[in-house]
Amino acid sequence: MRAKPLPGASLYLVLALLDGEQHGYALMGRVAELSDGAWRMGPGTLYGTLNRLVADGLIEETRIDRDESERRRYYALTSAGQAMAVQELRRLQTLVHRVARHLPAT
Amino acid sequence: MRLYGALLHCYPRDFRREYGEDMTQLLALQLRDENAVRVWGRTFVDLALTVPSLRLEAVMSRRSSLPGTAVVYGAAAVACLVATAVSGTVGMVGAAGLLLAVLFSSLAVLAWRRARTLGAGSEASPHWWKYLAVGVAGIACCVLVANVADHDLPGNTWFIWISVLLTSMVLSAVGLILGLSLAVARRRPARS
Repeated sequence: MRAKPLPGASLYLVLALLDGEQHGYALMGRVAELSDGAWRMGPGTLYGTLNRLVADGLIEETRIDRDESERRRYYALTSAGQAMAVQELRRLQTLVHRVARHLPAT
Repeated sequence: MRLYGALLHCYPRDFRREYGEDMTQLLALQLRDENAVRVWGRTFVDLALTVPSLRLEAVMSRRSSLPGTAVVYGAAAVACLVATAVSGTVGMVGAAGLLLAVLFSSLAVLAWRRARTLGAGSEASPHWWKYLAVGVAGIACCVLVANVADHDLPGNTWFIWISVLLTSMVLSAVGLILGLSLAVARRRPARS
């Protein structure tokens, strides 16, 4: 059965994790980069969304690095998350394919 | 950072225990790397949008409740309008009520926009006529009731009357905006 499309913040985080495991601050930067700066997540949005994605089984916490001044919690996609990311990419690709003829010629 | 530590208490306890330290650290890193005014501005909006959402999730055990947040802020905006209208206050207090209504409406729109799926159309747009129909029917009922009662509603009935009228006006406006945005969206491909 086809899963419901992910809301914006979840989608960007799942796509950002396609590059491999990352910690919160790196993820936030990657999301801003992927969205051309349109999605600049605050701490509540980032950890609220990560919490939901973990609960949904799409991502998992892989490790926590601690030193004296910082703690870094790393996340990675699960196999279900990988499948979801690919499905979402296909959905967006199909959408672009369907409307690409409306793009002005360069 | 002490201020943010205090504001974190707005979040549900379990969430705060799990992520509070990470959130504080993330904000410190943002403040280190970006303009402080911009970061604090974004953080306050983030708090305003995520606290109701996570609180709703904690209470209702539901996920993705940003649409719920939009409803909460929409209701708060209507409540402010009703309170301002009913109390009949003018001057600073009236202006503060209207400002709060505008603030809550903006947060409702932001929460609604964030809950949408990327690349998918707005699910509400095809239903614009339902919002408009209910809103117009509500306004018509209010006008009818006012005329039947000869503009002299008994007891506190006028409070209900004005609440229904304001809600109907909001629904009509939402219906009109959704209908117009749908019409514009449908016209766009034909132009290019």
